[in-house]
Amino acid sequence: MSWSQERIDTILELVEKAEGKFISQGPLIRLGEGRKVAFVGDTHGAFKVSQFALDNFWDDCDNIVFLGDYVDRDPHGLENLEVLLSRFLEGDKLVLLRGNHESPATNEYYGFKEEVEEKLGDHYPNFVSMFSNMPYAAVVNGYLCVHGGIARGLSKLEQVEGLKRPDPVPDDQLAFEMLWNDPREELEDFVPNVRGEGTYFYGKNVTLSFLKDNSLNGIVRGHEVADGFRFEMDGKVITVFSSLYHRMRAGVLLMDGEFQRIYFKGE
Amino acid sequence: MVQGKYYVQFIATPVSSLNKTKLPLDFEVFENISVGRSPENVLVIPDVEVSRRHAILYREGDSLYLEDQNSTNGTYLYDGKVFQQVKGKVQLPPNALVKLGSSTIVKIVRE
Repeated sequence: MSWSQERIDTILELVEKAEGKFISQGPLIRLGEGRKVAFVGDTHGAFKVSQFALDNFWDDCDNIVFLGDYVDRDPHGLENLEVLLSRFLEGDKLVLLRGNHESPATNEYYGFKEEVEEKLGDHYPNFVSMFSNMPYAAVVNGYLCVHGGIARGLSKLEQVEGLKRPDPVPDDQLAFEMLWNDPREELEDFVPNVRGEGTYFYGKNVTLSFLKDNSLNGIVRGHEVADGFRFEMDGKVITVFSSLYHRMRAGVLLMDGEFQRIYFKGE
Repeated sequence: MVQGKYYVQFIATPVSSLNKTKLPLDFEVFENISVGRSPENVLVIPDVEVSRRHAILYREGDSLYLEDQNSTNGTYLYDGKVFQQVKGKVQLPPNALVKLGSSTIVKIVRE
């Protein structure tokens, strides 16, 4: 069902402005210490969860960090982007990181490209361009926030600042792994992942040494299905999952000195 | 020396809730532990890419062996760098990582 011309023009304008703002943010966003933050994991078109997070934490938090994967798997990726991008352009509270689904490599198979063509017509390249300029990671309160996690060859955070954009797939191996890798506390090192060529699991040894070398407390990430949350490696690696398609609970993690788990309760 | 028991732990499976699950491998009860998709196996793996009867695990002396049962999508042992396909039988090192097909990885530990 095609959207009205007015709504099409509005989303395309949001996309263009957001792209400019993503470029100005750089590939790594440093938010500082002592902040009250809400983290939202993969939403995959669950715009009601995005709205819930914005409604409940906007006034009360210093930042709301979304960990990527706004589209695909559910045909409301555009509605989700409408909610997120319009708020993203208001001030600097909302952080929107890139996920592995902000890419033509996934959109061609999981529905977003088709959704755009159906609702907007021939405008999918506008989204590719915006996605390819989104930031890869943020650091807040000593936590690295990133969609997948750490990558082989990533030893210092400064390397993330040097990642080149736009990178639509991304082709850069470091960037690719940051969007695709998964933590496994049962493993020690990097081990090939089942997600396909070039994806890895990161084990406990490599994670702890990365955190130590960069004076970080932990990692907050999304990317894997969970009933809201998964804590591992003695709570140092936290997965937040905020979709509805997986038919488990959508979680929002609140960090205010300690962690608080909040679940989306429906409308 | 008291020998520990062997366990299989799921690292990756299409059924994400199974990850981290640890199951004992009881060689006192089953000399050969069959691994596969169909319910008559000792160790049932819920993954469409795993063959009905995919592999067997057994002890020989103090060593643990894994033998592929001509599975369609293969059995692989991690060598520290890549998952090498297992042709026939292979002796498992401590904390072996075994891949069955392309979506299931288990770790075999002795505690």
